[in-house]
Amino acid sequence: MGLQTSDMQGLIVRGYKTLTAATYILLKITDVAAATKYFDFLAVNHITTGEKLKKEEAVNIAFTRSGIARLLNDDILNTFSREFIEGMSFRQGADKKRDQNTKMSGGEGIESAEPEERPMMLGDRGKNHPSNWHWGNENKPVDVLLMVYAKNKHALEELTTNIFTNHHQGVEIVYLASTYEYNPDNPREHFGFMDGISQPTIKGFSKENEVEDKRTHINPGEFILGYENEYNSFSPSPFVDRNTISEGMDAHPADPEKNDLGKNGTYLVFRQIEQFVEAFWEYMYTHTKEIAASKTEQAVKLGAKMVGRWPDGRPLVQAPGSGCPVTDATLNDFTYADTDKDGLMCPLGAHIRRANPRDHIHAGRNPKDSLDLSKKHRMLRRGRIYGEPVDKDFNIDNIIHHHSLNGSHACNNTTKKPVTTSIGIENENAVRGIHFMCLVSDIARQFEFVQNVWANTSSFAALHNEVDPIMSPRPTPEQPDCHEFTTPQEMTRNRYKNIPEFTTVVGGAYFFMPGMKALKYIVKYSMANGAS
Amino acid sequence: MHRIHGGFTAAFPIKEGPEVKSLSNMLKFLHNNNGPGAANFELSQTTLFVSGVVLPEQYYKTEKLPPTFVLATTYCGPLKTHLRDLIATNKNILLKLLMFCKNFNGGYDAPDDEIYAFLKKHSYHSNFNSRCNFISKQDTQNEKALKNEIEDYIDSAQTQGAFKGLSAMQIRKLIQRHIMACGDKYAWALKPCKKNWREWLEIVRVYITYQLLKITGLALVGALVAPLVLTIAALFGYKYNLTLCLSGCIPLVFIGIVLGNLMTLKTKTATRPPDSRIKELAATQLNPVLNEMTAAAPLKRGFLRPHLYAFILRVLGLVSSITSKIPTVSNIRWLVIDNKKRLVFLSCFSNTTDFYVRDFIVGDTAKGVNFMFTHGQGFPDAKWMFKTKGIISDPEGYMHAVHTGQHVTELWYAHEKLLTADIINKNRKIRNGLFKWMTEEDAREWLKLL
Repeated sequence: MGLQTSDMQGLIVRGYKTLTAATYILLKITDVAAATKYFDFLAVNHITTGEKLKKEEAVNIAFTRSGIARLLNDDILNTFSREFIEGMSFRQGADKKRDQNTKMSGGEGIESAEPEERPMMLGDRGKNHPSNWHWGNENKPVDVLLMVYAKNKHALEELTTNIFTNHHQGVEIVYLASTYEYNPDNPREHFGFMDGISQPTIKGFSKENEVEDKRTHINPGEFILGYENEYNSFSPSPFVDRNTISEGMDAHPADPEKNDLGKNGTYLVFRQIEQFVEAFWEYMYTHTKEIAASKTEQAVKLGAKMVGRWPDGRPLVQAPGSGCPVTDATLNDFTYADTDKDGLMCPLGAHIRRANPRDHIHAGRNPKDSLDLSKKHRMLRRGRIYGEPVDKDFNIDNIIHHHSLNGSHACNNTTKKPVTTSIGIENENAVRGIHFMCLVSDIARQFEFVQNVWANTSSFAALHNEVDPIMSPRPTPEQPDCHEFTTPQEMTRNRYKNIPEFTTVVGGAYFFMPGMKALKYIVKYSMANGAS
Repeated sequence: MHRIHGGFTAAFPIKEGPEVKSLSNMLKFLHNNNGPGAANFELSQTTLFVSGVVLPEQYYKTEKLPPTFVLATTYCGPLKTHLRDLIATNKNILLKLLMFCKNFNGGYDAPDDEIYAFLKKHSYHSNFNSRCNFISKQDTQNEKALKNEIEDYIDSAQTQGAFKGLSAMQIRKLIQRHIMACGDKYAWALKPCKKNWREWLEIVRVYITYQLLKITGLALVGALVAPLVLTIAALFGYKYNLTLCLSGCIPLVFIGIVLGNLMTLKTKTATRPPDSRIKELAATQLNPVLNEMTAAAPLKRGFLRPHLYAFILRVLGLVSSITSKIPTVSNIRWLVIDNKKRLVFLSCFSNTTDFYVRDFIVGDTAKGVNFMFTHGQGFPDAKWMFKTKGIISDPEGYMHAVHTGQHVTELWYAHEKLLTADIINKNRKIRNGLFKWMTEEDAREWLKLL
């Protein structure tokens, strides 16, 4: 079956790399009828589809559970996946009483004494706890996400004025998440490492032919609802009754009597993650035991070991030394089982090995099974960074030098520069970090699995007392010793202890990004059922 | 005493009335309460894991399967020793639980022998497998401590530059000296942990049984197919007695009809259970490393299915350490209770249930698990009972069936909740390699374990 790109929103098909300016407008619906008209206006005039970009701008839209609940009805909402219905900050037990039981988890945060399924699974503990978030929690719920992209800052300002300021109705801004200008030639995150290299190769997309190793090609149903996934079946997709409103929509794969609301849509996971650049490099600089020519190179080497790549993106398994050349074509073309089973080049607990273990999932799996399993837990990433970088060229020497000039730094970023735009204040209370965004057809099997089983589990790869050094919380009340990282060596490993958290989650939500027909259905349904 | 791991599983029908709820509450109380009167399985040296769960009434065709209390333990050593040890250390707890069960007539002063006999009487065979076989509870604790000691020593030696320019053998020598200098604390670690004769016998038994089963299986297939081949040959003019050959085909035809019936029987796959139920189950899966699950489902229709399934479980139980290939497992078992009409699955594993069971669907593991689950009501029908379809092509139906059949394990004990089977086995390798004869290359490999 061919991919119906014209019915998909453009973000599924491309990351809009040429549109270097972007902003994410997180909205709350205040008046359903008016909001519906506004969404109709957007759907008809502005939402960018997966077809070739016709204009130098793009607009996409997605809805949270509460957004869907307000525009549709409970029966339809209940056909969505459980994770989406509950939301990222769902609290098991739903008891709002909090206690002070978080000293072990580092925290300023306040947690419930009740067990909390999702925060526990995602590692949103202590400072990362939803109760501390800027948005997406009980205090600042979000209904709609509007993603706006343009070729530069000025064009973005014009576009947001055109599509939002001049036309919005029935919605108000909860949070305005701006981004730092994207550099397609040198896309870096704030620690200074190249980002977005390891994207899945999706069957049926134009880039499929660029990757020769067919074993790594992934069925589109892993990322787009309504297509076959890696189990050769369909990920669970929401559905609606067949009637005049849903006319023209495709039949649901599991129940041909219903129409597929998910077809050509996807789930979008959005997490705003604050990065503590100075704390990161300070730890690397003061604690490194790696061998290199200078202290700075030693620090870079330890940072690279934690990430699994050198700052310029070269994977350690292909370039174990800082000088080893790697071509662009092979930046993502490597495996671990044959080349680095002991983690001598890329440590077993490194960020990229946890996020995508490729052919070397431990616990006795053979390379073929590992690769098959890895393909069932991939994510299509679409995030961008926000906030001023420590060094605008992301030069690691400068970042480290900046650190050393400034002496000792606390774990929290010390400067904040909220920017006022025509539509509001961007990134209120935020300093620098990443708007992590990924598209998946099954939130639990893909995003939550990677977060829980590979990133946050201390027993990954038969390690002990280690979690993802970049993005996992540590230590936790259940595992007070879980603050280590090991770099295997030819003789005896280097063990690093008391690694602080270099990131904190400060916002997040699960969204549904509908296909174009589904978006029109949502608008039509809302209009026909009392919104008008 | 040997250190072979075993799985004891007993199922007790519960008395009618409010006893079901009361037993459930009692299990929860025992699980959550650390004070006096609580379960203390830590005292029992033979007990590695304990699960206590109340299965609700379910229906096999129209027959009601009663609410049942399942008590499952993973133990180390002989079963008799384990049960005696369990009774000696947790007698009051067992009595409190058994009081709710039918046909238990002993009061609070029931003698040990009566409890022992009652437990034995209600026990079932399963295809139990443990991935940490031959490692006792004490071994696990000791070897964890040894590993930590060595790790700390390496850290301190590295800080002092004590390993600079040394070979792997020399580094290991220094580690050995440090452990020896610790005195009696690690005296047990000065020799590798060797298997005793009973443990070796177990390894040989499993291997020989596995080979015998393979030979027997091939011979059976040959014996069934040979008359068919001869019949065809006779039909093509070869001088064989056609009547005799045809009559030789009768067992094959019979088996074909019976198995064909089972294989082609279409049953209804479970649909998505209420989210509230899944939430309730998920709330029991919040341990950071190891978790436990119990699922139960009546068997699907088919006259011979209960007997065939129970027989195969019994056979697989003889060789489960070879045939069980799920790497995230600490221990696992399938069994049939209620006169072979209800399938029960129990396991302790790394991660949470949903992620654990979904990752069964890969490679050959999927085929094996397909066979084990396809007989349970609500699970997707597998082609040839294992090969394709079933959980392989309907992962969502499979997950719905798991959620439908899963029950909250009210009482769960694990001797080391933060250690996976991989880590326990790795610690054993560290201990065994410490004073073992090694080459430089061996020593390098050994150092990689640390």
